[in-house]
Amino acid sequence: MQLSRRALALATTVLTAGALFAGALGATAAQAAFPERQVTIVVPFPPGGGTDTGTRLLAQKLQERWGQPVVVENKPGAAGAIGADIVARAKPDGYTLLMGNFGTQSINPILYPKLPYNPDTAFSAVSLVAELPQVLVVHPDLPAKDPAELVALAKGKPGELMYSSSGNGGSMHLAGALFEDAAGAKLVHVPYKGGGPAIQDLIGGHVNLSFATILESSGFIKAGKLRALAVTSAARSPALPEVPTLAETALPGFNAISWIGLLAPAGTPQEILDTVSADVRKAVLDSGIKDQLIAQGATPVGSSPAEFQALIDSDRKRYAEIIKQKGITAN
Amino acid sequence: MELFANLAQGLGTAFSIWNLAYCLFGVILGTAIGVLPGLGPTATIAMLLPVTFGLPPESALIMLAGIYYGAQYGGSTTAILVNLPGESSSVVTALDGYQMARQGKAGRALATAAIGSFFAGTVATLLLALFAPPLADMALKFGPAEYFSLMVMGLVASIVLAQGSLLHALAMIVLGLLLGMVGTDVNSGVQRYTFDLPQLADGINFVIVAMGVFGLAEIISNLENEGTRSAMVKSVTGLMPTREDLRRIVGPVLRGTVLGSLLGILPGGGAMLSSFAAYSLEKKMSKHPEEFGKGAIEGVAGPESANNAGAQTSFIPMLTLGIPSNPVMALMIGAMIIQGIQPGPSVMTEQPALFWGIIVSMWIGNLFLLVLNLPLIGLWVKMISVPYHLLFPAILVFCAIGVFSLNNATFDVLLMAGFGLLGYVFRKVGCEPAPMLLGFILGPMMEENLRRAMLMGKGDPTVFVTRPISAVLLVVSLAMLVTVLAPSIRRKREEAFQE
Repeated sequence: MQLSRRALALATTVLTAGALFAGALGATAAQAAFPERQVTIVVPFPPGGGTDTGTRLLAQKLQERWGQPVVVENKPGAAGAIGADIVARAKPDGYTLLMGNFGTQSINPILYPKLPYNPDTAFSAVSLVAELPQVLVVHPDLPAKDPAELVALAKGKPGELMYSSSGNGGSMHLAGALFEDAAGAKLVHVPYKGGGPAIQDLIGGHVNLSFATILESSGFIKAGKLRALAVTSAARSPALPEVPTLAETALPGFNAISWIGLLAPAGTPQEILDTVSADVRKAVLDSGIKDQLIAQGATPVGSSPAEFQALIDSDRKRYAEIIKQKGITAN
Repeated sequence: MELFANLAQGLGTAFSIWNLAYCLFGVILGTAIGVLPGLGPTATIAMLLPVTFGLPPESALIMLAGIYYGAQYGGSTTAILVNLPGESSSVVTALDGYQMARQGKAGRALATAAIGSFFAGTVATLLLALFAPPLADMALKFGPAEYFSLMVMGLVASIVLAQGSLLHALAMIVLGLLLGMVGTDVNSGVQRYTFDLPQLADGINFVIVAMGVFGLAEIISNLENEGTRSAMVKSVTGLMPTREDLRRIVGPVLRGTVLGSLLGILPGGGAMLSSFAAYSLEKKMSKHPEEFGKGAIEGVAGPESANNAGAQTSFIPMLTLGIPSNPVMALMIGAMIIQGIQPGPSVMTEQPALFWGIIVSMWIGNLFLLVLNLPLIGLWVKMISVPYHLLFPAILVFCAIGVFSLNNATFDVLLMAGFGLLGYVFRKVGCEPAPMLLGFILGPMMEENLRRAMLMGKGDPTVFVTRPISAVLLVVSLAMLVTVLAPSIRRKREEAFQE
């Protein structure tokens, strides 16, 4: 007994010393080998949505690549501002990241002047993950068979055609506003709480059209419950390759897409930003998640931190104009 | 005959040994989280989502579905035993179920809930197998005008929920409507009553309010009362329902099943209304309406059947259209997407094994639940004879964990504490919290649909009466209102309450 207790004490000491030593080693090696412990990606939306499912796919791949757990934590609320605020306050060491999107990074700063963080200085861009083109869908009873006919129909009946959206200032609303602006038409905007009910009322024929996410609408397009007229991105979507773009048909230059991308708290060392950025790009482009993202209606794109920051800034500038012009508010 | 071929395929899928195991695991886990106050199926399924990546899609969805309806069973257990409705549907069960428990009839209330749920689940599953596609198409006919009129009907029915003074009930409904306004207005994006707190921008979660005004307030007033301090119930009589009980619940179970099955199909919150509607219906039909709120077994049987039937039929819009009718269904859709299945009308034709497998597994799951729950009743009932100094802190801890898990936010836990105090005040001044909760649930949906219908009708209020479904619903509401307010009937009502 006596011996074994002593052996135990010895073993504990050795183990503790070993752990301390390993810890010290780890600390010195930190810059070289990120990450050395669990990484958390905060999703500022509830589980189950497009941003969430995309993040979970990416997290799984990063976990395989890094050999460290990558945990997805949902912190929903206030159009993503609550989760973004948590990351803005987190230690800038790369272990807490934000899966931001078009809304949280480019639109919220325009719509909400009283954000709890400074959107210009709180984050460092890491990498774009995927672009999410939207698709202009109409109820099958609407006579318009292509985008040009829809533009003509909308111009002929100003204030008659109704489009449903996921809510004020959301991507479905903003794409509609850009469409009105480009086509010189006037539509009635009908907001819902989320994209699901917005599509549901379009299928039921209670509204006429919608600028839906591919994820939420492609099932209905395939089943003939909705007619896809065009995608809203500059290039065609790999998820719906047979559907033309608005730009190539009725409205040259039209581009209204949503996107998701990874950000870190401002002050995160540049080496870590570059490492994560490169790993994200490899994950979304090289491995099996590319096809899965495409199946979700997302076009996988990795980018450098600088390219991603440029996209955030240009979208903010572009949408600030249309938001001001249309008098879109969120508070 | 196609149905038999389909069902055979479903049986083949559901009866594979692994899928049976996942189904059993799902319903056991669901029951467990349903029984733990506050921890709901949404948080559990969200946590289990990564686990489902590695499973075949049928197994993943069978397990997740099992958690969902298992939690419906389990949720009524806490509502009955400790007055803690964790789901909007079990608020009504708590009204009479908890009173039964205090009278020592907890076992009979739990058995009634289990039997009613099983029957309703069986009927609703059959309905799902036979008529899912046409029913889903019917649900799409419900536009904003119809939803508004449905909510009006629900609100009128809520007056029937009131136990005492009509004025108190109306005041509580209005308070509920006001609380429901907290958050961002859908139409204009204006923030209402948020005090610049981003945590309030999406409104207050139902679970927070229900936990506070029911559960926490119950604990506070129990602590004040010397008699209940040692144990909540002194003697427990009979675990199983008597022959007389069974005779009394046949009607309520049948009516609840029909009502729940129909309302559950509507994606816009129909399932939530079903238990409230069933309770109101039973109270109207009963020869002894004065017993309601004091431990009427019909008040448990009807709503419990309705809520389980609604839980099953709410799979119809999810499976046939890909439309989530509640957060749990949204997560199931998320699980399908991750599995590479595109939710929508094509699931039934492209993934028949999945579709029919889930349907058959639902019935098996309901059977598991009945077999599992009836013997467990004895165990659950013992829970309420646990001394308060152990039981109350445990309930508090689970409530806090459950509420935190909604949004991973500590703010919500504090908010629940605030509602607990408010609920205590309500008890002191003799106001029932149930009508407030109904106003809280219905108010925002009613407003949203009213304004949407007006927007679509270009400001013309006649849309509510020119659309037939909407008109019928409004006429029914009017008839209900007249019965409640007509002087002769009101006198009778007052007499009833004086007894």
